[in-house]
Amino acid sequence: MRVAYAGVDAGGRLDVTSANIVNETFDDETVVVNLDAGTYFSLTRLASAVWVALPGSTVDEIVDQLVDRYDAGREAIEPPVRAFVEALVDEGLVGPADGRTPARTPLPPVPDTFEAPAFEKFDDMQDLLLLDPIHDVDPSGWPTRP
Amino acid sequence: MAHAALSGQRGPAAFFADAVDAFARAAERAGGAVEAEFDLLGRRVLVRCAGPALVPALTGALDHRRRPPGAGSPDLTFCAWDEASTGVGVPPAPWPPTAYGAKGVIDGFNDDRFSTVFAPGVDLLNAFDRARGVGLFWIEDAAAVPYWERGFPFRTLLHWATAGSPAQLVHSGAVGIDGTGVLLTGAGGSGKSTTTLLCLRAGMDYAGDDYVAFELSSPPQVHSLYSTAKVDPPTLERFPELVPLVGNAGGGDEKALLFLSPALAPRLASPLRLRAVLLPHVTGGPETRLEPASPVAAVRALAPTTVFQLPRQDTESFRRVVELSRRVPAFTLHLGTDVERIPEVVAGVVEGRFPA
Repeated sequence: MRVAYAGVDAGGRLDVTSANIVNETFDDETVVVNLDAGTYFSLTRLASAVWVALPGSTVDEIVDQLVDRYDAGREAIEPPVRAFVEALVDEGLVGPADGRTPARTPLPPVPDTFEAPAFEKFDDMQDLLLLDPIHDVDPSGWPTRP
Repeated sequence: MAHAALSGQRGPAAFFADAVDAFARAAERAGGAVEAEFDLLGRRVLVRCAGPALVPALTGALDHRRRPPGAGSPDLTFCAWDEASTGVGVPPAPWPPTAYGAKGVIDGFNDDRFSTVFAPGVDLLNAFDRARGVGLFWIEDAAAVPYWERGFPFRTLLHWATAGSPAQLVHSGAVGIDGTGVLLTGAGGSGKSTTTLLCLRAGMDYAGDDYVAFELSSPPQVHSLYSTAKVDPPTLERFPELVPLVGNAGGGDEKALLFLSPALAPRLASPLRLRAVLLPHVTGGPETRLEPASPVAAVRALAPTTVFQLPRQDTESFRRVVELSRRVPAFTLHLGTDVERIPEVVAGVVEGRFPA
């Protein structure tokens, strides 16, 4: 699948999209929280390594590094890595750097054998955010009770 | 952003001042402010309720942290009023209907100094002036304070009061022995409440069941905020000795809200040096055992539920949870059906005997 995100497709540099995407990496695990959407994500092993190396890089640069690192061949490596990054973009976690120049981090140690990077998404707490907009207010500006 | 301020209408400072005036009028109409002081997070907190109506709902859970009135200014002053008993409402809202955002945060009325949140559904106003350490709480009718809010009164104001400090409110329980303890954290159904109450029954100290605060001191500590425990009816059946401490009528989806103070006041300890974060999990098998968990497991258990429940300071809260998870080991606590064994395992962690 080719997506319409110019930054990803045209080899543009990527970055975490906003200050409301917070993340932390411990060894080979990363947790990412989308504070706006009420979702959080777990990335392990190769997915975590790719996440760490993404800011300031292009997808092509990440793919090239993995092709150098593994014997699996570009045909086996590029499609799942590209799909993973596109999924991160779809979730609003990563996008074009848009002129920002995030500090680049070298690719951390990766598993010995190539694996398709993936994340686990958790949306079990989304209702805590009370995202439903308030529609009606009384003349003093306070929400009216249903 | 900041519609009212940009259009020359009243901004957060003016709204806050109007609300402080409204509280003063409410207190006057109710025959004066009913005052009580509490020691929370090592700070002197003065609670002022306009008349008696809100006093039980907002101070019952803090009973174990009550302190004699001190001289001079308190560190924090929380003023609360309801409209039903005082006849004084909230000032008109100077923001447009579109300003109500996620978690009730009002767009344009939250900045470095002021916080303004109207919790939709329960219709509670919380506002805070960080510069003066003054918080405001308003509800239309004191009788409508939800039972869970009675279990953690002023949770939102205390959260804002920790901005820029090493303390962090966290959705977690905590138990301990002789000044050392563990956090117990997990979603509903994880066995967290059962574990904390089993530890209490076994003679351990109790710092909380739902919300506590940790502090990134050396070593990290946990502070008790609330003397309450919130349990579902099947869990309460395991603890018949606690039934007399239930403080709400229950029914419907309500859990039982237990007020452990004053009956168990000597056991409500704070602060506790933090030994570990335990992640309880019901197994169905007989054996209770510990398994080392990664720091990321602790972050996943502690951070989302905390940052998605508490309005504002999201990034700061996340960073503090990360720091705690780097400094304190985490263990999955596999809970067995032989429940008498559970407090022994928890006590073993507290006293450094487990894991061997």
